[in-house]
Amino acid sequence: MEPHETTIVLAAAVRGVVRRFPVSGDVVTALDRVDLDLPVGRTTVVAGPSGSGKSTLLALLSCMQRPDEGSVMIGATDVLALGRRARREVRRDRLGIVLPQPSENLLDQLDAITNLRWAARRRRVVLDSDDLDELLDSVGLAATRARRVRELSGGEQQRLAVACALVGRPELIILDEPTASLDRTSASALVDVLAAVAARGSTMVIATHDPLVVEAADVIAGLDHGRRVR
Amino acid sequence: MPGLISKRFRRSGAAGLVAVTAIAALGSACLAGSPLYLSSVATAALQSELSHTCLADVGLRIPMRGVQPDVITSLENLAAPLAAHTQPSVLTRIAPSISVAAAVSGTRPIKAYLVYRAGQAQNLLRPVKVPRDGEVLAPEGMNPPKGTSPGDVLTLSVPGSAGQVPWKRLVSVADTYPPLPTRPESAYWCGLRSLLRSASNDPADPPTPVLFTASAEIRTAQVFRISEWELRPDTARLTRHDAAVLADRFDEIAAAAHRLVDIDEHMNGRTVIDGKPLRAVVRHAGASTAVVAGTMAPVRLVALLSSLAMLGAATTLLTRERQRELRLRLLKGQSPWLLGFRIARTAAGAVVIGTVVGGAVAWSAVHFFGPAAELEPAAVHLAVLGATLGTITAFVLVGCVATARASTLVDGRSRRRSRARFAPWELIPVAAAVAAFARLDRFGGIQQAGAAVGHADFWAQCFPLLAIIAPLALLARPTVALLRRWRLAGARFPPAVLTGLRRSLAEPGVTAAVLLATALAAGSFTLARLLTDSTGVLLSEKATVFLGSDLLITARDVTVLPPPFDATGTVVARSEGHSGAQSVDLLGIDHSTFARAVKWRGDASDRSLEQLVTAVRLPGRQATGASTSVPAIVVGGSLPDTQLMSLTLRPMAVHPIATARWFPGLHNGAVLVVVDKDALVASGLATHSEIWLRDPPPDAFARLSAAGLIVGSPSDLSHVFDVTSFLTVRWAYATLSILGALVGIVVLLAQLLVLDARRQTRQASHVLTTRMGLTQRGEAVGLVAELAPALAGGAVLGVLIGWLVTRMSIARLDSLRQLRPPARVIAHPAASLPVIAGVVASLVVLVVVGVVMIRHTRVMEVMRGTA
Repeated sequence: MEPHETTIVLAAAVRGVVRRFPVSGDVVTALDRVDLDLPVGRTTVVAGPSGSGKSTLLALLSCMQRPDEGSVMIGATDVLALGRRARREVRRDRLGIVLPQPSENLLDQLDAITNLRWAARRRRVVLDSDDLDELLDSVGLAATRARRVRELSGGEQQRLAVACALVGRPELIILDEPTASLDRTSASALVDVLAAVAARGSTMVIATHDPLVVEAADVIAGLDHGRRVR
Repeated sequence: MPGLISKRFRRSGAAGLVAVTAIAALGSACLAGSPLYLSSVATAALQSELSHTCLADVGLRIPMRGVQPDVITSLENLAAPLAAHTQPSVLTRIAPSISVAAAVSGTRPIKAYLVYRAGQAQNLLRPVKVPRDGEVLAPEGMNPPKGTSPGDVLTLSVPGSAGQVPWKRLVSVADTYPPLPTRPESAYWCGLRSLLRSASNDPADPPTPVLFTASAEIRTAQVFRISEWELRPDTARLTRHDAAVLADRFDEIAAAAHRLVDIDEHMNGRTVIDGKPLRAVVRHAGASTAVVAGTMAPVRLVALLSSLAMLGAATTLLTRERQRELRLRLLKGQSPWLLGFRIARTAAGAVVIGTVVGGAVAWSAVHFFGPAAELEPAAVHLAVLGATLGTITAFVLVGCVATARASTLVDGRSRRRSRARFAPWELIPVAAAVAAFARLDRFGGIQQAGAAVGHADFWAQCFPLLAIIAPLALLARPTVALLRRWRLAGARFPPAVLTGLRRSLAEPGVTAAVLLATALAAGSFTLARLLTDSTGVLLSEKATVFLGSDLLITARDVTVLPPPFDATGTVVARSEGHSGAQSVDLLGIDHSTFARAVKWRGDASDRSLEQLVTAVRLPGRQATGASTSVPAIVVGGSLPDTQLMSLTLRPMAVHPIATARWFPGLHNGAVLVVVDKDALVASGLATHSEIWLRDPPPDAFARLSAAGLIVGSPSDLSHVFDVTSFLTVRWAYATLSILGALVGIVVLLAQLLVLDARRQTRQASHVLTTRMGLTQRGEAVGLVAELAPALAGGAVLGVLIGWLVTRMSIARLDSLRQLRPPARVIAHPAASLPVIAGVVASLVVLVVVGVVMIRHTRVMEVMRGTA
């Protein structure tokens, strides 16, 4: 009997990436020949201690940086072969990105609903009020739609950032330390939101060392000193 | 919505926008100020020239035969459009060789000029009675020995051929007028100087008398040969542009006059004057402007480059302030160019406001503090054009820098440090400074009166600036290396001082830049001040050595001066001769009065002035003659033969008892032999007397004349030097002062930008140090310790370099090296006061801003990283 082969479709993949940074006249290797596959519809957690290269790996996936060596694929696209304009379009149309600090993900002088509307506009998605309300509701922020970002707590801001990243259903949602600046309760609420998002079939990659988030992962990729450890 | 976002974000970028406004103002002030300042210089140079020129010589003059009233009306009509910049026209009638007979027995008829001019009584040395019909003003001393007095009756007649007398009148003398001196020369009568002064200019050789009249009959009498119609420029508010236009109109009117008028140019020196003399003055003003422009060009370049660099820095600050927004937008796929444009659009208001403010400041500064308040229309247009181009450039630069900065926030290419940083770039300004130094004496500088206009030489004029920049460039790398080496210095200082000091040492590049930029500002300012002070003193010293004292008046038969001049004046005797083949000037001095009437510089001789004066004094009333050798001081050379011969071959024996490098009364290139005055007079050589006055009152000449002395030809400093060239040099050096002030402002702005750029770090540090017990006073002390060393060190370094550069260049900047004494550096301690005040004021501003900044720390936001 032939063994049954399961074809895993990848939303993104990195192969043999190396990333070095000059620091005080020296060179630090942040990533050293790292491979990573991100299956479609799964939540992959990149875990590791501080300085292990998690954020750098996600920056490569987000088309925010280029590796010194290796390749980065988003779907079937080799994003390293693209020019800056095309990489910008990849970021805009196919990726949802959430950075560690809540304030870095939102225009903090605007209210919650306007932030969502602005995100949709950037992604060229037409959303009516009901869609926006539904999106806010999905992250538990229905009651705060008219509040300015500054008036939201850190956890609420981060959930709003996730909602903005979800606008237009991007192929891959990249979250870098989403619970880093949150307390336990807020982090738990965010993890619930992420679980709900995952349940809808979105593909996510999350860099974290928070056990709460790690528990919610389908796939765990460990990093230490820039190398894959599992 | 985008508008809303921009509006709200603009608030968060306030510091960056304030910086952009300030820098745009600085750049605009530089761009708009340069043509305005040059225009002001041109106008001031023109007015200076005109103030030392007889306006009749640069006006329009049409001499015509007899009386031609219709023609004069036509000329008046042609001149009417020029009324804004011309004085009312003057009609003069001249009757040469008129016979004057006094109704006094024993006097013979004399020849005189009869001159008609309305308003002739004005501008004479003292008020005189205005003559009416049938009256004349006569010169004092006419008809010696009895002279002429008011009320005398004179018979005037025009001798005709074959003994006929075609015109004869009896007139009475309304009043007499004193001799009209050369300096100050009457602005009203200077056009007739050829009539009023004898060719020899000797006070004992009076000119042919001139009788002034205002009689209507004389105005229209056909018997008089010459009528002159004059139109003089009015110097009030006259710009170089106005003068150039006026010169063209004078040409047109003169050309029209040649068609309309029966011109008579037969009388000696009374020819047509058109626009050429005025155009020569305009050219002279243009040459002065070129000299100032030559010094200003490198200064403006440095100021503009500094402004552009600062604008780039301010834009970086602006993008840093909006970094989160920009990164978010980039993550959402917006183009860096679009973001650059957004930043530029946000900054556009600041740029425009800054440009307008800078332009207004430049205009006000030049208008109120510039060499002349009047500005030419072309300069204003250039200023507006410069400011407009500056605005566009600033807008484009802000957009490009913002785009470049935004590009690095997300998906930027990693930058590799270029090996070019190891190249010895600092040798470029050093080489340029050496090349400029070699050309330094090509710069025209101050000229003697009558010399050609000093020329501009761009590279020579770059020297002062390059000489400051070159050592600073050489010091840049060692300073950074030294600061890096000292990064752990100050461990024994109190915590507040240590914190501040270490903060500045942690960024050696920034600290070194502040230190060197401060040195540039202080150096430019000091150099300008020292050069200006030294040049002023140099001028005064050379003039007093050339003249003998502050005022020189030729005199005849004067031995003692009346009070109060006896306290500050002396009478000297001068003669000329030769010693072997060497021409010598002989100066006879009065030992009792000489020392207090002259100015003396200690390095003129190894002996003091008193010692020298005493040395030439003859013991008692010693009889002197050709065979008696008299003690003498030999100045500016040596005597091949101690037996001097006068120009009339009369001998005089001298024995040199001292030498001097220079001495009051020494002229260009001559050897001066100083002897006792009595000895010189007694030797039988032909001498003439001069009165030398120290610190004289403005009316010294008139007072001496009124005291009955026979005096003439007064000469002062303005007689020796071309005053405009001196002013030009001062205006040129002033641009270095302006650079000093501009760079000082740039340093302050840069420090403020650095403070603001490090606001988050500073606030985080404050949160930490507060918990460690550091008070707000301690924070202020820390700020002083952080900022003061670079500012104070830079100021000291700058002052030192400024002084060294002045010392090195002053001798070669002396354009009158043939005149003694040589140049020297005049360094008043007060010259450093503006630099000290600037450093203290900058420090106070920076510390206050720094303290206010940390007082507004929101602890929770700092701890959450959202400040």
